[in-house]
Amino acid sequence: MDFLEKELHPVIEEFVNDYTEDRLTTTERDTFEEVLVTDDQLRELTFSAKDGKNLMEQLRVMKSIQAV
Amino acid sequence: MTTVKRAKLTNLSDEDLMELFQDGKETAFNELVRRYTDRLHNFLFRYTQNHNDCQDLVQETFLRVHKSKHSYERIAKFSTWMYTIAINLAKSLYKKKKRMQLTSIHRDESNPDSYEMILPDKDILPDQELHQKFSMKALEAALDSLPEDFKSVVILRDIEQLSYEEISEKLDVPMGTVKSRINRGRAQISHKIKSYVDLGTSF
Repeated sequence: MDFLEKELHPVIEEFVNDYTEDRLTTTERDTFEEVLVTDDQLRELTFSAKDGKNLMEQLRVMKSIQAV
Repeated sequence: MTTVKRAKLTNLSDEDLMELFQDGKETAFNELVRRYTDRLHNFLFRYTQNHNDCQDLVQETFLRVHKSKHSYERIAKFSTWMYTIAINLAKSLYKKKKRMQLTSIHRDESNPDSYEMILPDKDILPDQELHQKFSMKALEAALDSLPEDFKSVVILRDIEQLSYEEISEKLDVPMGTVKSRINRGRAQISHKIKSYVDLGTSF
C-alpha cells in the first residue's frame, strides 16, 4: 500500500481528515475533490480513510448494542 | 480443451472470462468455477460455519451465475457480483432454516403420555445476529492487526469518540501526527476488510 508511505504536508493531512469526517464547506470540498482527481495516491488514502471511518462507526454501534 | 487454450484462459481476468462466457464460451465459465470454488467455500464458511451448507451454496451460486450471465455488466468486479449472489443465497437459506427451527411436534391431546417435542437446531443463529457477529469479528480483527501507534488513535477517536485535542494530550503526540495516524489507521482498516471480503482470507 504505497499511499500509506507517502509523506504529506500537514495541511493536506488536515484536509484528508476533515473530508473524512465531513467537516469541509462545500467550496472546500469541491476544491479538494479537484485535487483528488489528479492525485491517485492521495485519492486512495482519502477514500480508504473515509471507508475505514465508516467501518469503525459500524463497530462502535455494534459494540454499544451489545453492551445494552 | 488443449493445454494451450487452457493456459490462455488462466491468463485472462475474471471480467474477460465472463465476457467470453456471455459470448457462449462454456470453457470460460469452467475456468471461473476452478478459480473460485475454494475461495467461495471459504467466504461462505465464515458466514455459515457449516461445510455442508457451503457446498450446496457454492453449487447454487455457480448455477445462478450460469443462469444470470447476461445480467452481469462489466462495470462491476466479477468477484463482487458473485459474492453478492452467494451472500443473498446464504441469507435465504438461513431464513428458511430459522423457520424450520420454530417447527415443533405437537402434543397429542388424546394421549396423556404425549408431550410436545421441540427440535431446535443449535447450529443456527438468526440471520441478523449471525451477520452482526461476523462483521464485528472481522472489524475487531482488522483493528487489532494495526500497528500500535495507529490502533490507539483510531480507538480513541472512532470508538471512544475523544476530540483531537484530547487524543493529542493523552498520548503526548502533536496534533498533526494524531491526524496523520488516524488517516492511515482508518485507510488500513478499509484495505484489510476489503481483502477479507474479496478473498475470504483472514488477516
